[in-house]
Amino acid sequence: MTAPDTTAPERVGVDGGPPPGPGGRAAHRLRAVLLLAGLGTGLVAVSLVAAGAGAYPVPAGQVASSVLHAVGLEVGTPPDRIGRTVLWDVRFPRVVLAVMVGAALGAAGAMMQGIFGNPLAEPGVIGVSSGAAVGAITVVFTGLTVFGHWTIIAASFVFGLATTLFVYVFARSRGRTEVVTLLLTGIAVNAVAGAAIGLMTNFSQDAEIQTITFWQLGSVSTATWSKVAAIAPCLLAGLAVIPLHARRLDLLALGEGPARHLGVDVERMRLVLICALALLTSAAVAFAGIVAFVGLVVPHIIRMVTGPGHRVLLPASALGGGLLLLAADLLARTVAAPAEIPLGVVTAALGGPFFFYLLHRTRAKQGGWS
Amino acid sequence: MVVNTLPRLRRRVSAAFAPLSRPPALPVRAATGSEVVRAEGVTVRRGGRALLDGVDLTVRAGELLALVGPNGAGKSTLLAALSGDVTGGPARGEADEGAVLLLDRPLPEWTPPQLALRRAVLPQEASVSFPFPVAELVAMGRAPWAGLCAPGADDAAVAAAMDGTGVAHLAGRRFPTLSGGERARVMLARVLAQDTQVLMLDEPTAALDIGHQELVLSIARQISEDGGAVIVVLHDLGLAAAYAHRVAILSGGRIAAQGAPADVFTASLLGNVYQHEVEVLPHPRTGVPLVVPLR
Repeated sequence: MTAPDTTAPERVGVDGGPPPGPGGRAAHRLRAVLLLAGLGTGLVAVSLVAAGAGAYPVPAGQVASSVLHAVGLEVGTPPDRIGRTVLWDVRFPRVVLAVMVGAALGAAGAMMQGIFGNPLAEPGVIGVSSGAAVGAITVVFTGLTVFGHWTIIAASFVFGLATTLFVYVFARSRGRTEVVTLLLTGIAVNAVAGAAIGLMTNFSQDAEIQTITFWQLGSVSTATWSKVAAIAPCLLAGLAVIPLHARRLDLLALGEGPARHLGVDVERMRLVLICALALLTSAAVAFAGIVAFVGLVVPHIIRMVTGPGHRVLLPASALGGGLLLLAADLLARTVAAPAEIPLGVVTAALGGPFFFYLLHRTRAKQGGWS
Repeated sequence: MVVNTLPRLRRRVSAAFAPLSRPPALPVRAATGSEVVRAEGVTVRRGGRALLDGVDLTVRAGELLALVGPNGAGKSTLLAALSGDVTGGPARGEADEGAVLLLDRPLPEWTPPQLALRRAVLPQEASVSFPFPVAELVAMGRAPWAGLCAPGADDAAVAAAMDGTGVAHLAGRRFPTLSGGERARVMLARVLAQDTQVLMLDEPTAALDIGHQELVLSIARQISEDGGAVIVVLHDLGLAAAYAHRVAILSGGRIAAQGAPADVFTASLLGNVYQHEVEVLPHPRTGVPLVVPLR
C-alpha cells in the first residue's frame, strides 16, 4: 500500500471509513510477492536437485557448496574433483540452459496471449516455434555459417518473426482474434512448416538428420556454456520490454479501441512486443528445438493464482516457465535412465491434455465456437 | 517491508524512464460555454457507401448532446469519428474527408496520451479478454494519469466512480461473472474514473433497466452541469428529451435537425426520419416531450 492515509484524507473523512479498494489490493500484492518468491525459491531448489541427479549423483548440499565456493564463499564441503567436473562442465550448463529456455517460452507465451487477447495463443500451438525451427534447420541443411555461432539464431529469429507477423495478420479480424481462426491458422502454419522440415529431412545425410530430429523433438542435452552465453542476451533483451509494457497489455485486454482511448500507442506497442516474443521464441527454438505447451500451461496456472494482471503475470511466467522446463528436463533424463526421453516429448505429454482441458473449458464458457 | 518498498521502487524506476516517454502536460479545462469539440464536413465512406455525409457539429463545455436516429443512420460512426477512431486512408474505395477539432486542435495533432487526459470513450460493446476483477478494470481508467497525480487521487477517483455507478459492491468480482447490466455499469465507471472534460458514450443505457438508465443519464447530466461536455448516443427518445440540452437527429449519414429537444422533436420530422408515424405530447407534469409511436 502506498500510504493512502496521508494522501487521501478527504475521502476517508467523507465516507467515515477506509476506502474499500486498498485492503484487497494489499492482499493481492502480498499474494503476488509470495508467488514470485515461491517460484524463485522453487527454481533454486530444483536447480540444486537437478544438478545433483544423474549417473554420477552429487548431494544437493555439495552442489550448493560448490556454487558458493565458486563465488568465493567457503561454506560446506564441496564435491570431489570428478563431481566438480561433472557439475561445472555438464550439469550446470544444462540446468542454466533449461531455465533460460523455459523462461523465454513462458514469457513469450504470456506476451503472445496478451497481444492476441486470447488465452489459447502459444508459440508452439500457432506455429511460431515450427517457423523458427524451419529457419534453424535450413541453416543446418545448407551449412550456412555467415554469422558463425549466431547464424542459427539469426535464421530462426527471421523465420520466427515472419511467422508471428503472418499469424497475427491472418488470425485477426476487426481488432479481435477468434479462437477458431487462431487455431486453424496454427494448423495451416504448422502444416507448411512440417512440409518444409520433411522435405529437408528427406534430402539430408544421416548426421544432419540426427540434428534435425533434435530440433523437432526438443532437448537441452547438448548444453554448453557458449550456448548459455549466446541465449542470455536474447533472453534479457526479450524480457527487458516487460516493465514498460505490462500495464499497457492490461489495457489492451479491453480491446484495441479502448486501449487507444486510454493513451496507449497500440501500433507501436504491438510492434515492440511481437519483436520481443519472436526473439524469445526463436532463441529458445535455436538452442532447444520445439518445446511446446510451456507458454500455454504456465501463464494459465499463474493467472489462476494471482489473476490476469500482466505486471505479475509476465515475470511470474518467466520464472514458472524456467521451473517447469527444468523439472521436465530432470524427468526426461532420469525417468528412463540411462536412456533419455526428448524434452519436447515430456512437455507435450504434460501439455497436450492440459490444452484439451483448456479448449473444453473455453468452449463451455462461450457455448460453442461460432 | 517488501510490500511497501515495491511500489516505491516502481515509482523510482518509472521516474527514471519518464524523460524517455515524454510525459504529457496536465490538461487545462475549457471554460463553460466554450467550444470543445467541432466536426467540420466529416464524411466517412466505406465500401462505396457514405456512412457520414458532410456532418457539421459543435459541442460546448457544459452541454449534454444526444445523438439519436434510426439504426444505420451513422450515430456510432459519428461518435467514432469524433473520438478519432475513424482513420481510414484512401484505400479500397474508402475515403474520409473533413476534420474534427478537440479543444481547437485537430485530432491528429494530439498524441494518444494527451487525448486520454481530455476525452474518455465508452464503447458500445463491453468485452474483456481476461477475467480481471472489477476494481482493477475501473482502475484502468486511471492509466492516463500515471505519474501526473498523487496515488491517493487515483484511489479516490476510482472509489467515486464505483460509488456513482453503483458497482462498489462488485469490486472483488471477476468481469465474466457479471450480468450484462453490471458489465455496462463497470465499463461506465472505468470511463468516469478517467476524469476527462469530454465524455463520449455509445449507447450507455442499452443493457440497463429503467432505474439504471435514469442513474446513468443523471450522472452524465451532472457532469455536463459541472462544466464537462458529454456526447451520448441514445435510442430512447424519451431519455434524450428528458436529459439532453441539445439533440442531433441523424438520418442517412446527415444531421436532419439539431437543437433543444422541445424544438426538434416534432411528429412530422421524427415520423419522416424513423419511417414510422409518431405522436409527440408534452408530459402532463414536466412538459418534457414524450414520443409515442402510433399503434
